[in-house]
Amino acid sequence: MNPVGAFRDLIGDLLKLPPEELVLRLTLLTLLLHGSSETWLDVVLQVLCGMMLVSRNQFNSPGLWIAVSSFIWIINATDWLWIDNHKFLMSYWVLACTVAVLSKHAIDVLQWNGRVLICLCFGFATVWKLLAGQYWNGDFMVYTLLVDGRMEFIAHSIAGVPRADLAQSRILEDTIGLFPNEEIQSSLPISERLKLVALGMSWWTILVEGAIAILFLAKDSFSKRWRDLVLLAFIASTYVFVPVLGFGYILTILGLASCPIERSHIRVTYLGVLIVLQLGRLPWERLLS
Amino acid sequence: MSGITAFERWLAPGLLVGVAVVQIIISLTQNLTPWKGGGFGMFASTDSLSMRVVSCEALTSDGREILVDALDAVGSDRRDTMRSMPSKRSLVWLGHLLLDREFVPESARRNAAEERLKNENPDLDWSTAFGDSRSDSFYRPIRASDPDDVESATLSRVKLQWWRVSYDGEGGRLRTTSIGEPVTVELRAP
Repeated sequence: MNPVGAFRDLIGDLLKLPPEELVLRLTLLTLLLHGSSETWLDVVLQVLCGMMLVSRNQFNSPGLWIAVSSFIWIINATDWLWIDNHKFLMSYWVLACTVAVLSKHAIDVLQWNGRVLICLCFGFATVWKLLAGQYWNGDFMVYTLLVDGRMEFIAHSIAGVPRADLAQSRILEDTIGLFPNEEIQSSLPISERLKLVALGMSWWTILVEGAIAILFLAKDSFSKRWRDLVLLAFIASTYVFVPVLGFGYILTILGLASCPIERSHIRVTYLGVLIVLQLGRLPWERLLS
Repeated sequence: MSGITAFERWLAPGLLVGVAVVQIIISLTQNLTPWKGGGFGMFASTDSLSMRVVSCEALTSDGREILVDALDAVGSDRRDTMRSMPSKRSLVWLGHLLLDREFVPESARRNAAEERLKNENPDLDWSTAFGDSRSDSFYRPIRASDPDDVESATLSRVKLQWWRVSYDGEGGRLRTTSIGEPVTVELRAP
């Protein structure tokens, strides 16, 4: 029994599943792990999705998908002001899955909705980055590098900000809110190198997100050839550093759903990315130092 | 692919577009943060939930003026909902909630532990060894885990205001700017 060979067999078995079954089962897994925003929904999803996932024939039961979809939509609609954007994306995708299991052309429905939802999600993300006015000039990224603990590795190792300055910036962000006054202000430790790194990261993100929106919208052969690779590169490079696993998982499943069945090497890569995303949870900074 | 109906094609994408367009309009015309509401504006602006704070100047029932950590009185989901779209209505609601609560200095638990250490180590000159570390300037709602003998205060009037912590990239500075007018809520006479 060779573990590497057994793992290869496992991936092979997954790819032998009918494509709609693989997508629906992975969606159920994602809902089980990352689908809930509050306890009520968590209980329902753990029970329903868990049982559908392990069942042989109920993974595509229209009645159960309608139940899952209804619970998610009711709870998320109630909580719309505070839930994260990937919960919205999950809601749309669960609705698409429900429509698919009710349809005679399940895989076509999943393929179409996967492609269009990726295009729209990245399209609106790009529009917001241009609209908000703090992104294209690097200001948002400068601030994020200084105060977001998840970015400390990049801020320190690449942008060269001393750890003490990062800690001080985070304390300042917390403290200034305790003394709200129009006359109080505080300066952050900003260097030319930090600005340059932030500007590079900002434009790279705008270009990649905009490119994904366009590539998933277009139907020419160039777009079809490249869109999966660009999406995979974005998911792997973003969610390993910023481990919002729910977002990473749902985007990967949308990509897998939209990918033609004959592109088996790309479908394997999507499955591989689901595994790679888990690496983002490891304490990289401690391991590397 | 041609066999699928318009309903199967456009139900989910149509809802996404509808919600996102409404979110953009509300964000640009009211105070909805770009990060929330389903418009995919996360990581686009520094105007996130953590950048929205409430100031609260309060008058205690015995006539003292104190500062209160007002949002601490609210559960995290409700707090995030309020911070997503600050409004006068939410301040009025919060004001009435605060007038119903008891408050203790933010450092109440630490102060109680410090008192106990002092009592158990009477020979040590505490102020020479550690200085005066007390900070009683902020009050927060009393919790079940606070010491029984802690002195609490009730409020007779609160003045609340929303603020936004903003980052000015040009000067590299953090500053706070007010959102809307302050709201004062008073205890009604019995």
